[in-house]
Amino acid sequence: MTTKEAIINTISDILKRQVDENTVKDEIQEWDSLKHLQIIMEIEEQFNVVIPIEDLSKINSVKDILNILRIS
Amino acid sequence: MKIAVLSNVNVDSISEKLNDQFQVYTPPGFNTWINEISNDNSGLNIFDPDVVFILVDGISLFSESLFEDAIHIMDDLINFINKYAEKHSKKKIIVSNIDVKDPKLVPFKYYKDTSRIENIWVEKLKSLNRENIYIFDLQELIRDNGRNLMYSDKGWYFGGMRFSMNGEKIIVSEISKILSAFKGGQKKCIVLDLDNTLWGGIIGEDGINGISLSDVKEGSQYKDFQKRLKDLKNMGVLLAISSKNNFDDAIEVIRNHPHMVLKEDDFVSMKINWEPKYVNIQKIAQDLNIGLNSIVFIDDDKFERESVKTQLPEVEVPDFPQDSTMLAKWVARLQKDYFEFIEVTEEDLEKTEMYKSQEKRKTLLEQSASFEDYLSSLEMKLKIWNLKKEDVPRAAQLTQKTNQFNVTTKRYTEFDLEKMMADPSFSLYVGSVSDKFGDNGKVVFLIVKKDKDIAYIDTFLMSCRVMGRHIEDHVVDFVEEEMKKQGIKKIRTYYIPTKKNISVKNLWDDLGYQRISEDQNGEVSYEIDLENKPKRKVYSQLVI
Repeated sequence: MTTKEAIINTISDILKRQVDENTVKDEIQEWDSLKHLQIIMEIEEQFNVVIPIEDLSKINSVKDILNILRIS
Repeated sequence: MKIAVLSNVNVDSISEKLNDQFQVYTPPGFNTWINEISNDNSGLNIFDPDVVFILVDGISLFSESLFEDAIHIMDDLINFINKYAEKHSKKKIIVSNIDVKDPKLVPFKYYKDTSRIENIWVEKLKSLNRENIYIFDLQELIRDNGRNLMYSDKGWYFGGMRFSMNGEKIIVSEISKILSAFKGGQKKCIVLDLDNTLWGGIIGEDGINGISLSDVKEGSQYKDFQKRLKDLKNMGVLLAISSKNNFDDAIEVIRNHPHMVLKEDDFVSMKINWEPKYVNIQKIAQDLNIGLNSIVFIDDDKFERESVKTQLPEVEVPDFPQDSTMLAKWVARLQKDYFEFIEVTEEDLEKTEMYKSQEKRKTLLEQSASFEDYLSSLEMKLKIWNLKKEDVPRAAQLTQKTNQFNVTTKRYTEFDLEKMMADPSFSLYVGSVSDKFGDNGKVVFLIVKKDKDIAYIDTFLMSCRVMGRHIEDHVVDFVEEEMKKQGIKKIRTYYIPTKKNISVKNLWDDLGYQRISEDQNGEVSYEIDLENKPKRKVYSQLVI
């Protein structure tokens, strides 16, 4: 599994639905603020990265998350 | 099972994770737990959970407080918890201990001691002395895993969530294990290999002086492993051996090695031979009269493990640690996975002894000329007395676990029995049985309700350990005599059929009771006139 796939899996697990790299937060009902925080925290802990709190509101899609982690 | 999770921090995420396995209620918002437990109309009280977890975050509760203020806050909280526990005595209330971190920066000499306040919290909880309050060791989880892993600053500042995702997973895992323990389903027996399991090396090749088992270094890995296994044995877990060895080689170690923690007496069965291990395990299950699914098999050899997994898929076969330094700690994992007991009664502690005595009885039976001869030569003694406070846990356990010799199969909690004890129209009897091979412990329980000159036997049960020895005849004789002394003229009782109590279908008929009625579910009611009761043959002696 590539890192990209692992990240998409992690996000899907938390939202309890399958997402892909084009999924946008606003499209998904389940992706509320609690889930948003959970996703950020899970990514940080699993991939050993830091996502500054100031950036949380700038993250609105799976692509944003991949970008912040510098994964194309 | 309905559970509630309350906290002074946001635990929505924890509840969500538990929701897969249980019905979970968590109040909206956070720090509303005091309201929820004190208010009769709260969401919590409407939900009516069976188990309530109160996860207390020590950091947000106490860290900035002065010591004296902290004590006041604590007293208030403990008071609320106490009132709730008293009002809902059938609910289990599990309160965590606390981890307190003082964030203030200080010079080196000024040592910040938060342990005092952490300890006082636990002392205050314990001093409530409530049977339905349990303590959840949150502190240990945090210590074992580290604050850096368990907590999340981002979660806290952004969402009032104290714990990290990893921390929540760990907490959820603990909570699940505890809830499973309340449900039952723990295993009963561990079957152990010997070479490279209970000691390092192979006895057949290395000899008793060559194996690794000592107080220091490598040998102490195995000694510590044995110590933790002994802890499990002392909780009522049965230990057995299945080892491919010459019996004499192995028994020499078990009997004579100075660092052997587990002795011959600690094992209920030792299958030391060259047979396939799965055959031995089947025999062990038969000897002990337990299911294969109650057995956990431990062996360092992957081939042996795979073989047992294939042949006996019901047996639990955990992976053996690859590194022997992890052995002793691994037993804690085994406890969590298979042997998480809430409480241990006297009877549990003596299980190994009891199984061994049972073996001796079997041998006597084989050697007796007739069954009556066997019963007489057992020299059984029966003791019956009115239920006392210290008998209550065992009696409740019996009503919950006894399925075969149980005429009405009514399940009672300790609380139920205490209520009956306080009611003079009830007579509750406990009985113990011993014979020349040992004491079977408290194995008989009856609940009798008196109404004018008629007594109703609501519950009559016996542990299957003592079935088939006509003890029941003697017990019923005794109770009838007791009732006669109290002016009772007739006794009424019942048989309520279940899948498991077929063996007592005709018990009352055999004891001379008359059938009064039978309904379409197979429930039969009986009556006996105490002036005309039959004389019964008994093989036990009644002792005071």
